[in-house]
Amino acid sequence: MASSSFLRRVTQLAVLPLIGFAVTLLFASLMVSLRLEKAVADLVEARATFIASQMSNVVEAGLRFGIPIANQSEAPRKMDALIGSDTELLTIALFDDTGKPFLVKSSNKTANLDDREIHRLLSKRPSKLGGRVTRAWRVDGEIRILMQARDATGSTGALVWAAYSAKTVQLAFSATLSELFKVSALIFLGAAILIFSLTYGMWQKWEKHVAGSLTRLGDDAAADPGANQVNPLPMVPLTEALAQLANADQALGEVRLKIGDLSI
Amino acid sequence: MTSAKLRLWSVVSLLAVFVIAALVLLAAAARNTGAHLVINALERNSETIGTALRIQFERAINIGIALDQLVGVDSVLEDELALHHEVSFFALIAGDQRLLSYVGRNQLNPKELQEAKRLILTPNRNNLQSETFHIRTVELSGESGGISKGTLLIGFPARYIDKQVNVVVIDLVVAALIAFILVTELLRYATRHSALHEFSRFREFTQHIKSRNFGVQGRFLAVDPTSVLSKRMDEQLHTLRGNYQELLARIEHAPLHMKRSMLDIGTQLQKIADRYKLNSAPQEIGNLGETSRLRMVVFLVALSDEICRPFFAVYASSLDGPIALSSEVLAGIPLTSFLFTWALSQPFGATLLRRFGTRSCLVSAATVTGLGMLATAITDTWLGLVVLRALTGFGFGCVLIFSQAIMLRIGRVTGRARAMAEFVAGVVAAGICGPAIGGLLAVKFGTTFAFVVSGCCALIAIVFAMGTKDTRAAEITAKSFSAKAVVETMRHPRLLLLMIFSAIPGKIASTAVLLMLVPLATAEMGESPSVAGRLLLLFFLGFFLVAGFAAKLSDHLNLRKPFIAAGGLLSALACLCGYAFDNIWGLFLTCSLLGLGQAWLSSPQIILVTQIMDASGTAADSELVLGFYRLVERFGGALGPVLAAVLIKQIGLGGAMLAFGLILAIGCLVTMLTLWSYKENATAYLETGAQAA
Repeated sequence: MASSSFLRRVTQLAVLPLIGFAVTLLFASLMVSLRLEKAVADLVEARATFIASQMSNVVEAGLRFGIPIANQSEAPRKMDALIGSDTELLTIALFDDTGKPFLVKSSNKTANLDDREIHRLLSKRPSKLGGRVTRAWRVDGEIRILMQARDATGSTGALVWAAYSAKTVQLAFSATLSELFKVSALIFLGAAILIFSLTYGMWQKWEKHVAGSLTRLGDDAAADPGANQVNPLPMVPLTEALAQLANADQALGEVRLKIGDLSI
Repeated sequence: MTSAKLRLWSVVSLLAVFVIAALVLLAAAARNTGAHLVINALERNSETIGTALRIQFERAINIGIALDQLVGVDSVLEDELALHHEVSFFALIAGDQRLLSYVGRNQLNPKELQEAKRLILTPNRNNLQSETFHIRTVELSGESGGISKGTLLIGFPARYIDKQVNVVVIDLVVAALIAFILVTELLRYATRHSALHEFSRFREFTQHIKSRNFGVQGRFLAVDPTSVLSKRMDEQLHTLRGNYQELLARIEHAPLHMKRSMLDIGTQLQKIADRYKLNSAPQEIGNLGETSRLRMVVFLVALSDEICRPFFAVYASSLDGPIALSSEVLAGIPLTSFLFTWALSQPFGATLLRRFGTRSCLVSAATVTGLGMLATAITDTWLGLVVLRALTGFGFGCVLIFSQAIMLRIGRVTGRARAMAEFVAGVVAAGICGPAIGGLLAVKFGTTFAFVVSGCCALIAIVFAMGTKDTRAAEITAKSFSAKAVVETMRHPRLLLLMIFSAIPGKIASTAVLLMLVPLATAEMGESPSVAGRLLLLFFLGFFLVAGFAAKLSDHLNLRKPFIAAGGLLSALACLCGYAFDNIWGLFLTCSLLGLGQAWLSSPQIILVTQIMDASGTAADSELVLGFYRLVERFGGALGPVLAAVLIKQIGLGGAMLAFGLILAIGCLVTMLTLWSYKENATAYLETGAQAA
């Protein structure tokens, strides 16, 4: 039967690896949940970008024929069609070249956009001819896309804003995280049993070996009839260290003898 | 292999299998949970794309243009394919089953291509699926309805979710590594009195005695059998040292007529003393209290900076700055102000340390960093951010240079390279963990919260800084940073050549490869930025795992030159691998080898610099040179990306990689020629002499 002090030592030894393992599981669960969230978010963002580019194509087609957005009849129609086709599309809006909202279709009453974002994108030029600068970001449970629509001269004639609901994305994170926490709890339980039993077994053998070593050093109080002569933890060179101590003692003993011989 | 070793290996293998099984189980659970969510999102995308394209094609049909007469169909589909990375191919089939257009990804292999064509040409397209692709079928009929005028097919990879899970598995390994390093760092100081730490000390104690180094003492305090044994061993060591002293005294005080005979015995005794190191004052084993505390300070302050790295540029560009500045400039200026004040702080580190004492300096610098970060969390102006970053940069730079100088002082007793490796490991560990934690915090709780956590990390470092031993100016020879000291440093030819041909090329190549060449090369190979991130992690991981070992070995052998040569050659080889293997495995080798190379030479190089200066007896001493060396190194680091950009423009990515490899190889060769005649042991002797004095 193991003593309480022995059990306490085993627990102390096992607790650190277990803390490490728990943090690893927690961190791994969080990172994996974020990865899956990102996979879904990328897909929703691709859809939002596609919707914005559809709208932008319509606006650009008008602008290239010299029709200002105020006179474009296709743009409002397209907007209605787009917002009706996808329940996750919360807002689609069109801003003119001064950054003022021109058309807004929204199922989300709180929809708003920072003026700085609009002005910054209006002033940006694409890196390649005929390209559009697009900015995508996530805020307040929405995935937002702001995209340029360019006129025949290549200047930014309007901006298209599409905001998608990020509920699916948040659901992906929370569902995965709660499932992984459950699995992690089970793994941790298994790890606790495994690490505790391995530490118990190894440490019991180690303390028997230590008792054997103490006996060799002449510590009768620690003498243990069941002392183990085999070192169960070879990375601790206890036997070799004790042998070196004995060697040094013997070498000094020889010197002492020689001095003693001379003194006589 | 003995049975004990075999048993130990079985236990280690069992634990490794358990950890791998746990990670596989997590990945499988993630797949099961995430699969339907990802597939749903994929289906919604295909529906949206299908609807939009159907409207376009039907508009043509409605005005009487037949599908086979439409111009620019390929171009429209190519544009959509470029926009939707999840789509594998588009195909447009006429009403009479003729294939009018096929646009697919170049990455499809011949087998996949064959499968795609087979599916496209299948006459019955109801619920078209295979092991390789899922197909969405969109019928094109026009306003009149009725007979189909054609069909649009959208092909998705059936293993899209598996591809995501493959990435998840890599993420799991990365997460496990980061968590392991984080826990190790955080528990390093907290558990210095734990049973595991005491056992680790006992292991080191026995290793010293096994290698006949009796100049050690355990000083174990616990009452368990292992501590009792170690106390007995301590007593035995004490007795042996006492016996030696006693025998030595007897030989020295022997009567005159016995002196001659005693000479041989004295020689024998001296040999024993040398073999077992009985004549040196015993050093306490594992007494790393001061080093651990400093490493914690370094780790926490570096972590506070690294946490902000993933989101800082985006955050800075979103603040209300001058409208004339582009977002890149808005992001760049605060970063530059941070790096500038950081570099500026380096030469003054040693002077401040001597003027105000180590503890006050460390506490002040950590406070400046922490409060700077907290203020950053609440600032909403871009100009405020620039000022705060400059302030934080100064505090951050000061913490790093103070810690290095203190580590050098500690290292005079415990081994300089080893002490310096503790510092480097703290910084690198923060570099591995910080960005992942910062990204996680910013995504889930917002940037303000991430800045608050970052500030708190630096403020917690104050607690550890307050526990450090305070060394005041009076206790050390005060030398201050001056132009004369710098000139003297610059005049030292060996030191100058070491900086020009080893330190600066190493820093230039590291920053160029890590910040420019690897991210650009991965992008050119069509890989995502997260792949580049994982490759860069290999550099830090290689560095973290090897730096400590290399430093210990360097101290143990009392050699620096071979380590600098090996590190330089490995770094050169890393760049040459990147040039020779123009694929992702080439970049894998580049990052790993560069990390190993820099780990191999980092600490020995800085120790050699300080040793050379200590031995030269000039006005500048090792701590001042350290500041100057770090300043030069930082400017070298800043030059790396600029040089890389020029080289890439002139000779391309591969050429730039080769050029950096050659720069490192030539630098290594010149360094070795410079150091050829330098006697390391002579300097070590001087160091020991200084210690004794």
